[in-house]
Amino acid sequence: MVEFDAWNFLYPGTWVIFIVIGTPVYAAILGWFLGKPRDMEKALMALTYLIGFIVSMWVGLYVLTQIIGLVFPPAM
Amino acid sequence: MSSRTPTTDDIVRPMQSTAKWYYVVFGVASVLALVWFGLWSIQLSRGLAVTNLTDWGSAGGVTWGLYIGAFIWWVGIAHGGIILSAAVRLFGMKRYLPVARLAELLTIGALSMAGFYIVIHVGRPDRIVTSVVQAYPVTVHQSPLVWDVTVITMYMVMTLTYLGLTIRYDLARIRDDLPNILEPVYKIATIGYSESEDEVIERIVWWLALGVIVMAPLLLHGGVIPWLFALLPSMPGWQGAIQGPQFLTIALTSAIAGVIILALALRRAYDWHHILTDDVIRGLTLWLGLFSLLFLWLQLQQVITGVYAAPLDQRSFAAAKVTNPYYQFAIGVVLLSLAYIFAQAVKAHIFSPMRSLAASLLVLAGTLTEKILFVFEGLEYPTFDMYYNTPGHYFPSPIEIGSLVGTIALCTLFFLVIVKVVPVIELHAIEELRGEGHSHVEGDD
Amino acid sequence: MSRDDDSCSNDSCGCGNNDNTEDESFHPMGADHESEMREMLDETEYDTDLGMDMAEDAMKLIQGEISEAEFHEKYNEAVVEEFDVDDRPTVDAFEEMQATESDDEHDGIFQRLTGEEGLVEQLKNVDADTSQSRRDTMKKMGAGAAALGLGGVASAQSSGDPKDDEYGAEPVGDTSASGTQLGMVIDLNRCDGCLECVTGCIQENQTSTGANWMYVLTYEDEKSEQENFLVRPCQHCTNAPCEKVCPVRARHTRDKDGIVLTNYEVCIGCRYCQVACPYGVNYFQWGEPDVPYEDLPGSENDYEELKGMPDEERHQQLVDSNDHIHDDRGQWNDMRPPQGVMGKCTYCPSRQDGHQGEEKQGTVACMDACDAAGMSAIHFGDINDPESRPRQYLRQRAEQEFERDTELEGVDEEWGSTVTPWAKLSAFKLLEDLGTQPNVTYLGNEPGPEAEQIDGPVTYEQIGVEDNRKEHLDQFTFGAGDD
Repeated sequence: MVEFDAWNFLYPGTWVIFIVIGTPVYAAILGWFLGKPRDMEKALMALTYLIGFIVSMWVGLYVLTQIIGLVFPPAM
Repeated sequence: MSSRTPTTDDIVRPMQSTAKWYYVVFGVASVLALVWFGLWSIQLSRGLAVTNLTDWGSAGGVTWGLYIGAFIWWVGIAHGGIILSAAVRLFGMKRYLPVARLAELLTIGALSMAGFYIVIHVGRPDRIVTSVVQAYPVTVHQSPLVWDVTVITMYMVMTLTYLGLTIRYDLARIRDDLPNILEPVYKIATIGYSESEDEVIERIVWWLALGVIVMAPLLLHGGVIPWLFALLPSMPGWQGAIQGPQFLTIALTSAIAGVIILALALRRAYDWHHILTDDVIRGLTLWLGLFSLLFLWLQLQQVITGVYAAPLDQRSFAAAKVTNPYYQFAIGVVLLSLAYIFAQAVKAHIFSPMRSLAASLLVLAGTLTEKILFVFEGLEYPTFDMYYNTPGHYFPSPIEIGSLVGTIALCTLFFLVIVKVVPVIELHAIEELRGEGHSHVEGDD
Repeated sequence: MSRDDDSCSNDSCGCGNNDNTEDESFHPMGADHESEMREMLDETEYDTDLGMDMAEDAMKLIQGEISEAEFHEKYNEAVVEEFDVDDRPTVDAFEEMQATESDDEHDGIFQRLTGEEGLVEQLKNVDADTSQSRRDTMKKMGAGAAALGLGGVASAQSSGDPKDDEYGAEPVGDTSASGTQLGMVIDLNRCDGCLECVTGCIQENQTSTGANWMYVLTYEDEKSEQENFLVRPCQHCTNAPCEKVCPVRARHTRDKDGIVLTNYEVCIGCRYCQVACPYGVNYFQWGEPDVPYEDLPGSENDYEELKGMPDEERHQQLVDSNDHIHDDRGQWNDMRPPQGVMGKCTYCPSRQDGHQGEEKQGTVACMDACDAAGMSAIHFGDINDPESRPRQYLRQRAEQEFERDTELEGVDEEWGSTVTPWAKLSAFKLLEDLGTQPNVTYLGNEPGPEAEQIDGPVTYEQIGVEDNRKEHLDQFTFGAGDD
């Protein structure tokens, strides 16, 4: 019987997120910077959009959840 | 096949005038949304005990139900955006260009509702951000829920970026026809715009579409979402590699159904029959048929595997599934839609936009039902079924059903608002239909 | 508790049993032979107890339960005191062990990296194919990283650093042979379905109606005619799926003793742990808890304050306030959870950490209740410690089964020649083939695939405990409840 516990090798999430799911994302971002026609300024603009949206999404969610916590304090 | 030629006037019409129906729909949707917020408040203050959820096992219930089923359903609908955009930008199906932005906006709306469902579903929404973020460096390596959060975030922001970039072209050109009150918004949206960027932006969004078409169907709805269930050792009804492909087919069917409904509703509202033509609807209907067929085919796989000679715990689940009238309903309505779609493929005169609308609504009802069933029936039939209170029992409570009505109302409101802010049909589509196309898109139909 | 511990005043603590007529000698030839040996030793001028203890441990040495070095070290002082010398053949192993230990202390960085115990050797030993305990692996990697000054790498692991949250990073692992692992041995043949453990747990933890962290199933099974019981606490799995899936690290394994806990301050109530657990041990706090927070002992302690205190001060504070809800890290994870948060059997960490008094350390409420009821079916303790109560009980029962078996067959089977006592003992773990590595070992009949729960000799209704939580919670369903 082959003794192989995948978790001893790499936790599944490590390669699922950073290799499998990462690949299309890395490809897209790399394509912006390395593909033709190449325009560093616009590529950076696109990257700013991307990161900007991530931040605003999570900040917005944070604000919403804090409001929930204030208006509806849960019973301890 | 209309004699009218599309113009830019068509796409700014929603922003320039408001018909009576708009106020009525807005009013109704607002009321329904407010009712939902009231119900949600009750849940927030009294806790999830107001639903019909209970612990599984000795307690006799199920712990995940409509909220999670509906979450999956909304993510499925959200896939319309990338499917359409990929079709247009990657596979050169210019025929669908008029409906592409609508589909992208549907992605934003639907993903927002999906995210909202997570907030509704958890016991402590007040901590959801702080708890998840502080643990992320560790949990990303091990928890399928965190993978889910990661990929949904990526899908959402990649779509937003896609929209944010492609809208620049339109806004720059039709600015004068847009409401002045929103000028600051348009200014920010078109910051640094110059016509020379058009070609570059086209290439950038091409890459985005490529990334998303791989990521979203295969790794989100056909990946991390089914993995939430399929990787667990506890519930035999969920186990197995088939869930990935099964969920993918649900995404595809729900997505196309959603786009058809949206397109028909808006073309009626704004007199866009010459843009969102019957030809487009026909094409979408055929795709709906193909995806529905795949969905049914994968259900067949599960049924035959579960009933033939499966191990006992899988067998109980399969038996419960096929004898459940709601499951029979779900499969039945998809079969019915498929029958119509097949018929109109053979005899073109059977096609009608109304029938396609009906088929889409049925498919959405069927996929929603099947998904909710999947979630709670899986929990009703665990591997450890010794407890006298297993199989458990569950039926969605009024508040849970209210959430469905509420999120549909909210999504409607989202569209009612967005249609007044940005053009929901791409300027490129108008140009293409007028024969002024710049051939940005690859190849031909 | 250890056999040497005389503080147990209870007859039935695993060292004696009302209805058990078997003797409990460590000697394979039985108690009579043991007494003979004892008499012979008494006739000498030397310490009888020392001789008997060494004989017992010599048996363990043969069985491979302790090493030569350990055996030598344990009695070294006493032997020298008694005989002025210690020339036992185990002295070589002992001296070797001593040499290695002193070496390590003086190693420079080069030696630490490349020596026998060095980082390079340790990394070489990290092999996907070995069955090396994951906890050991991670500990070594943490130590290795620390040796290189890479404190950050080790930060997610329990490294002995006082600021470490002691979560124990790895959600997986083989049951480590080293380190404490709290667990249970539950003798289902002793259980009579009295449900005292259930009541004991509810009283200890003030859980809400229907949240039966400790649960007993009386079941019928086509395999066996008798009345069957299954006592179902949380299994505190070493490879716990509930911990793997938690998105916020609320569900975690405490590294110091391997118990699986829920951090009530962080849990977001997604209920994924409940969905992933195959045993059904999780109970969510769907609404307001039955018992208010203010009524819980220790609720007056502020957890932010507690976490900021140095360890000694915090421990003192928790002991002084008889705190039942915080563990020694100052984390709120004991007793019933707040609204919107998940709860389950905790193995009573506030007891393990000594906050409820030293006498309660190493005990759990359900075991106390079972002992008080006279059954002693539950044996809780460190399953990696051969001297712990569960391990001793297991050994004792194994010997009994062996005796009974060889007597019945009339065959003079010799110890260790063809079969060991362990083979005769009907021990099992629940759902073992799911790979969760549960830490509860059951003695008795394993439920078959068609086993179904039935009403027991004592019903939940009779003891005033709600069994069907759904029935109870249905009254709170908005729009369809009984309001």
